[in-house]
Amino acid sequence: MELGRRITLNAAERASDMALALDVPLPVNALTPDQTSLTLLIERAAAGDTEAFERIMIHSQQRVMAMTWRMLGNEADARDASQEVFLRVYKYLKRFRQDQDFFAWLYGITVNVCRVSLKKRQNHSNRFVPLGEGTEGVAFKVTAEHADAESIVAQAQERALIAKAIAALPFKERASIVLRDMEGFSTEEVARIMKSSATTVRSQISSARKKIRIYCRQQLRRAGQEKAR
Amino acid sequence: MNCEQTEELLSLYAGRDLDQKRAILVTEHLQTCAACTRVAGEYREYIQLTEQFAPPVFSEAVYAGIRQRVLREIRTDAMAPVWSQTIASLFRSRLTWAIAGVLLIVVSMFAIYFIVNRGNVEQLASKPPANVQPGTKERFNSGPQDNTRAEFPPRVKLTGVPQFQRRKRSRDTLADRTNTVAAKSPDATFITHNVSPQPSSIPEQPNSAASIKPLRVEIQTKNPMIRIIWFVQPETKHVIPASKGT
Repeated sequence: MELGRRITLNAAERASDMALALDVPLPVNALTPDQTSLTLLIERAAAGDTEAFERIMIHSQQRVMAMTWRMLGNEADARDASQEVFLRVYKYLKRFRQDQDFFAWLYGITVNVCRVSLKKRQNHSNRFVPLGEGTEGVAFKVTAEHADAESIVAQAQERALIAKAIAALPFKERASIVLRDMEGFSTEEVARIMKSSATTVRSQISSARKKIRIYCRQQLRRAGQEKAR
Repeated sequence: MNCEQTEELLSLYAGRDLDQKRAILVTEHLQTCAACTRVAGEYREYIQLTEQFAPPVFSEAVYAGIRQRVLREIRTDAMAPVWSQTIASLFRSRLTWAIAGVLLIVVSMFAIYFIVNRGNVEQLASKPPANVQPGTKERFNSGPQDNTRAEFPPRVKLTGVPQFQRRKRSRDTLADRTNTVAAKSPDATFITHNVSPQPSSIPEQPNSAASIKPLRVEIQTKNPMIRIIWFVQPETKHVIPASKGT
């Protein structure tokens, strides 16, 4: 905290602040700080306070890492991309306007970093690693009602299929579907993040969903034929 | 709305991305069409699976590693001297290189042009004019601080002009003029010489004014590009022919 600066925080803000200061891992939603404290942190970080910036990183690291993993498909690349995202955030924090949504701005940077990362990978003739491949235990949300072994296996197969289908999508469609269906942004918010129009994003989402369905149907048909043999 | 039109909208309808007007139309169609209802169900299922597709739970060590690397990089950048960043940024940008290249070429061209022309000017300045008599070129060496009369440039030696006229002219006009020029430009060169008369179809009369050669006076200023030249017509004595009756 800066000396001589009076900050009044309410109980919720104080709790969030304390949790962040103590580096306590909290769920993603719980880590979202109050807009006032986030604004203060951004101001201080923009002025060169690395401590404040570290706290911003703690606030947003899970979101950034999840997004980069979903876009790039493996942990090593996601780690490198996340690092690059935070470096860019620090570099361009002075340009951030307080009337903007910080997380939308952050996701915009993340999408750009992932684009560059994928381009580099293509230039090095390294094929895309599909989501979930090589990673142990893709954490699908398994509810209690699917607790029996057979249904868990079936669900895992279906989800692996979807993971491959998403991995095969073009970059923009992939980014749109990740932001809309996985991160839960509205179409308008996705458009703002992607610096595009809502109509374009809607078209990309529609196209992506159709491709996922077609891919899954083809794969299931092929699997059925193999079983019949 | 038919099946084909509905199927186009089903992907958006299943994800609730369709506007209200079209969503109502699709709902109405789905109530009557089993095939489209099945496709809509498939879309819903895939969207649900996509929504549940979460990344693995990364350990705190992974996040801490990212933070440490980022902070280390930031501190390294902050400690690095500014000039190295400037140079590095120059190397990154192709546009900057292109602009720098163009500027370098332009400056080089100007420099070459200037050097070449300067050589020509110096040659011209050092070369005496073709019709200048040897020994008549004198250079003033008195500086601006030398304002004493003893150090004034020497008087101009006029040739080809009668003695009485020469004295008068040098006293009245030339001496004043040369003194003035010498005081303003200490490095000026004063050159005098006779100019050969222009060829003319009219035969010259021995006593006429045309037979007397004009005097060419040149002052080479400090600037090699500027040379002041004028011609002095020596005064002639007009003889009034006597009338026959007197």
